[in-house]
Amino acid sequence: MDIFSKLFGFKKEKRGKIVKEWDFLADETITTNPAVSKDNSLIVFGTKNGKVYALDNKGKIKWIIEVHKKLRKEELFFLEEDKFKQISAEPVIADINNDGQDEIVVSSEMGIIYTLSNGGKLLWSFSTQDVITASPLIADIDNDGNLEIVIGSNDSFLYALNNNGKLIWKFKAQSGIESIPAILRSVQNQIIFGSNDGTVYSLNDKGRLLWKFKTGDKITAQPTIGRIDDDKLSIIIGSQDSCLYALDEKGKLIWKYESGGKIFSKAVISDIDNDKRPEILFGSCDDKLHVISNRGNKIWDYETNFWVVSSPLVMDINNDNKLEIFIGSYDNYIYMLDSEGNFVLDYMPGISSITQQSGHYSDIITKEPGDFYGKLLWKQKVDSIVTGLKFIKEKRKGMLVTTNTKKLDKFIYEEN
Amino acid sequence: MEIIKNKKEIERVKTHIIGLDENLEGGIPINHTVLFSGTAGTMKSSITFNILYNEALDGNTGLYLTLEQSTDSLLNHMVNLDFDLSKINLIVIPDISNIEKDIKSATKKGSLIIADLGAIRKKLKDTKFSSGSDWLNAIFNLIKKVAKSTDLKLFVLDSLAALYVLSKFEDPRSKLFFIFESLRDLNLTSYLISEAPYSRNNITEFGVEEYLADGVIQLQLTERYRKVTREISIVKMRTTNCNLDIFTLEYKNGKFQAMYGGKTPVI
Repeated sequence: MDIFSKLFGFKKEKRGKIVKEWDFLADETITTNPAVSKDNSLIVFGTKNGKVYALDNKGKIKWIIEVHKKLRKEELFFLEEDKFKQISAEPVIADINNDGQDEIVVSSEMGIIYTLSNGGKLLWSFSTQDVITASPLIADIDNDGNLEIVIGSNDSFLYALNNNGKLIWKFKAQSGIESIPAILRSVQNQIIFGSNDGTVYSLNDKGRLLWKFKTGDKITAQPTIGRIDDDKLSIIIGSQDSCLYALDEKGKLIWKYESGGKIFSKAVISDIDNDKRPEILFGSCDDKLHVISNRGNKIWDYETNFWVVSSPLVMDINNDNKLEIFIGSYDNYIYMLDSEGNFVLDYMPGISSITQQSGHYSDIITKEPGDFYGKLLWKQKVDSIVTGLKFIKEKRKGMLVTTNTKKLDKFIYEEN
Repeated sequence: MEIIKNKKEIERVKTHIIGLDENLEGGIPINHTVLFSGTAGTMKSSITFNILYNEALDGNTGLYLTLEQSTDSLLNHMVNLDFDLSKINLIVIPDISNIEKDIKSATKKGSLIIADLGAIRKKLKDTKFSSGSDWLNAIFNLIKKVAKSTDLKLFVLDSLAALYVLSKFEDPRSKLFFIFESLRDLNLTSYLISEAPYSRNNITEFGVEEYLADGVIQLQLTERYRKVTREISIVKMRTTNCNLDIFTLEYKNGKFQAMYGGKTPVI
């Protein structure tokens, strides 16, 4: 019996393990997070050589399409030879034209956004003037019943397109945009995004500036919108200045939490310990997953051996009515953590001077007493640095893992 | 990079400055990226051209990439300094459309190739470029093309300051890290010319170049009783036991010389 099964055996009498269901080898490095359709029938990702792969949920190819334009010799000379075709932004799958079929929106480092049909046929494209590395927000931003596509480019513009790829408006920021926008639905809809000079912008549905907030460094993380302390919506956003910021609807700082490293990806708001108060989880380049309270205070953290760049996943993978937390680290491991963490007691006579409620004694020798720490349930070595995790909500829950290689792995939970 | 077992295995490229190579264990280790830092008039371009010229005479191929000064102006200056350009296989790349053709004759050993990106830039001024286009990519694509067709060993970039103007440097630290790493990956001994501010404590523009470089050679003008002397010193050189004294730099009879290390020269 493996450790994982034992640990699950302690709770709810459930026994199971996480196993790899399949892996898929692309012809070049996978450079995006995989996107999964709502019905799990379609998995789409992009590669370094500009190809879009569509797989079924068994990891079999549905179609492949190459999405880069032909360039003149002079133009090629000014581009990074082995990178200019790259697709860096996670594709988005949504029925953007209300035809009952999903479309796929892909954007490339050549600054072009493409919309493909469910079968991989190009429907339309739109060009910006610089590299696109962030996915679009696809939402009905003006409450007209149609979805719009809102995307930032390194040319400093945020573009709002209709579902036929026609420009509705564009907004010029003070620097390039590599952060995915988010929508805050309140008295009026707000489009919130970060920029390379560290500014958080809020625009109305016509693309007019409502407010802005300055952080200390570049923002690549998508803002997370949620109710954290009262009925009002808040904006949680990480910056490469190492801080996670909580802002109110008017862009006023509620609190900020300083981690020890740059924050690259979106934070997650979730009541992971069932105390009716949401917690906030995020990865940082201080090698840790941080779990903080809705007031911006540390609850616990878990330290891996290298940067935690991708967003954490929170799910009840084994249906025991308790959430588990998954993180991918640049130390080539995926970690599954208990959602409540461990409490290290100040003093327990008889066992040295400190101990903890559960787990192994050696885990806490270097930890400060009187504090909470993440409790590891399982970890899995993968081929390289973990660049993305994506939850798959099927009958047997699982996740897709990208690792800066040509391989996409799918892991699932299997009951014994 | 291979780990050497004996220091005698370290191959070096001479600076071709008499008196300085003797204080550098024979020269700069191959595949090093070295900054030549100094204010205007300190002969940075001439010293690095002199290295490529003398190495070409010894059968090694080098690429001199000028971003500001035109090829004609550079070569006229070198002829005025008594460089006999007829002794080397000199190739000028005037355009990016026929690089392969232009460097065909550089396949023979001992060539000095000059690319004038300033002129190329003028020719392309009305061209609309794709997203992600950057002069830094153009530089590395040029080096790769030349390296693919020739036995390229040495590279001079004149200058970093011009590159900072041409290329987007929103995140200079990462970009400079990329430049230095890429040059090492190309297995070239590279000389980067840096326009230094007027202070010994500030050698470079962003303050990180000297940490990223394998070596730094500083050039300066020193005033003594209304007489101005050129001086040269090695600030750092990895894998080298070097003399950090300040030397007087002179150019006489077609040779650079470093003299009076650590001593006040006779005025």
